[in-house]
Amino acid sequence: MKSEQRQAIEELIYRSCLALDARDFKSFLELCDAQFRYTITTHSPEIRRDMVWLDHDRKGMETLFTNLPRHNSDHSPITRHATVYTVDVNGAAAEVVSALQVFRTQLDGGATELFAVGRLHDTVKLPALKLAKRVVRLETRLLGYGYHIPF
Amino acid sequence: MVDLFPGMTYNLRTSVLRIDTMTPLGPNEVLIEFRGLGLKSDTAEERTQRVFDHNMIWGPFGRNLHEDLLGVTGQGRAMRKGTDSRYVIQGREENSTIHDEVGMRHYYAEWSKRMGRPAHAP
Repeated sequence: MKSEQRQAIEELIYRSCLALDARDFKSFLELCDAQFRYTITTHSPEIRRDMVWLDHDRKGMETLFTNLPRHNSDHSPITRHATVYTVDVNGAAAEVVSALQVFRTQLDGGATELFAVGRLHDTVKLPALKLAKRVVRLETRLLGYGYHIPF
Repeated sequence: MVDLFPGMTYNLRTSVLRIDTMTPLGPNEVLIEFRGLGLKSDTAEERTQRVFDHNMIWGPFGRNLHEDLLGVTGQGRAMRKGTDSRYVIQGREENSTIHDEVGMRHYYAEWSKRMGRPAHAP
């Protein structure tokens, strides 16, 4: 893999985080393949099972974003801090593992807190350079009153 | 939705039964546990759909529980002694719908009856 290719893949991951941080869902979906699938999982030692907290195809993500204004949501902004660890190219796809930290800044008062940590397991379609799959594997299991926008 | 005095709620939505238990820890603190139930006989496909249904409404990224807890948390903060928060959310519906305050009034009436003293002046 050439360094330019790795740089382009890293930038795709970072752009996806920036788009979601800005609640620019149209730009986020433009980074995604037509067959995109998004999942949030975590492992519960209490029940000794993996849990799936969110699981949508691209159409489901579009619906989720479109319906956001119809809900009463926490509008405290969150920022996603990703660090791309590994990029493994396998033919027409690249498997990317990134560390993820999510910070939330309370709308009321402005205090910033660490909201969640985990990893992004992304599959990037090549050479189109589109997100084909994102699995957010969270370590954090206690998210208080939760959040309406996916990480 | 069925409330069982004093601290249990049975909530049936989509394909899932949720049982909530409320345990008072003190005058200003309560432990609430949410449990979503399915059927032991579920196939893998049915269980996946049931988990999806549960978490779409009540999961940490679900549509409904976040709204409820956001309201409860905001009100709790605004009503706390010495708070500097400025907002209290008030919302209700009439005619014994799910958002009618009849549930809360029933709770206080039952509490008063069992305790032998009015809930408004305990």
